Amino acid sequence: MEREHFALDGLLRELARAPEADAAFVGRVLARTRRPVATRNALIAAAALLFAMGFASAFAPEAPTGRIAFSRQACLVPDAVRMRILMKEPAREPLLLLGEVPIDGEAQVPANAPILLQAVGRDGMALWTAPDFTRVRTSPATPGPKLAGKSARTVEFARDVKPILDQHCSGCHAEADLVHSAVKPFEARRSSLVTQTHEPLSTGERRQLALWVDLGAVGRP
Amino acid sequence: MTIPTLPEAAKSLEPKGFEELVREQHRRLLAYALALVRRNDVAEDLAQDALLIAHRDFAKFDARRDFGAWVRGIIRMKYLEWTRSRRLERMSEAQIEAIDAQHREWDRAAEEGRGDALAALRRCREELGEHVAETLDLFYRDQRSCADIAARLNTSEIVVRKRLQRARDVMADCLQKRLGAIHGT
Repeated sequence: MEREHFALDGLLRELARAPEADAAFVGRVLARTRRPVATRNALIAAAALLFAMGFASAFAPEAPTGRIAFSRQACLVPDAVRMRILMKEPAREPLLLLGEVPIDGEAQVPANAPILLQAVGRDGMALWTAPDFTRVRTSPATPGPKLAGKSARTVEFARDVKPILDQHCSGCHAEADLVHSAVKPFEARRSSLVTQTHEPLSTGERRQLALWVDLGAVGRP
Repeated sequence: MTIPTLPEAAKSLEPKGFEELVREQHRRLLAYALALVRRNDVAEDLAQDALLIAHRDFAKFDARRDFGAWVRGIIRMKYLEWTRSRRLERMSEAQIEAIDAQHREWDRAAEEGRGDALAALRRCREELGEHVAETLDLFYRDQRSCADIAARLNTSEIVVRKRLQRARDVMADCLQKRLGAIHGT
């Protein structure tokens, strides 16, 4: 009569597995267990930052603003539905996202600050990025939204992108290779990191990756 | 003999963190899941789901208990759910209990310093004859069917099956000898 070796069979199967497959398995499990903590910490940090910003703004003088409109760019990029307005701050690498306004609208932005415009399609990805920064002169208030630097946001690699890569990509890909070979800065729709992921990403995660790439993919390891 | 310093001794008494336990136990947990489902992808899914549940409930876990046995219990539950949801034939209770008993025995061997089951099996594998080792590699490492192996080795499927069974018998006896314990499944 044949002896049964079910447990031994499992051990033999595990012994035959490639060590990389085991390492990837551990990576996936730990990434999924770390993520909620990272998100919670990020939320706490964001809340603290918002509180501090609110406190500071109560005493800060109003910064001068200027008017910006996009009729010329709207003609250049007919598929664009919104204009994304980015600002460069001195001594700070990631671009600040001031906000997005309808392509046929206008906005008030900080005067004399380096502003970068990006026309955005329906999918939320950039269709066109201005070749250079522009500055607007101080002008009287206009009906458009007021996009102030103090309410701007950035997309940080460690905070906003790495947790997504840890969860969906690091199991099979080396992160450092991925963020260089599969990313074309300022061109999310031509970056395979955004367009060719083989593990399903949520819409929010894909948008976050796309935004990080469209804002220049700063902070890559 | 080296006497551990007080901080080292104190550290050894500290409960291990979740990450450390996962790194330490994941291969045995995968081996357990593989014994149940015999498919790498499904075994990984079951073990991963079980570890995520274990992480969620880790605060409630009594550090004096055996982490591996706890997670194996969750894998077992996940396996039953998996077969139920797909209307698959499952292993009998007796077969699952035999797998559990074997893993408990391997746990005991490790605790008593008689050796690690995977490390011992690797050494047993190195002692196999060339033909048997080749058949074993084609089946477990390359995941080929018996018919495929038979065609490749220019022999019959029955010979391949017998060779595999003999290899498992030899490995089981070798493991028993190396771990110095009763080995039946």
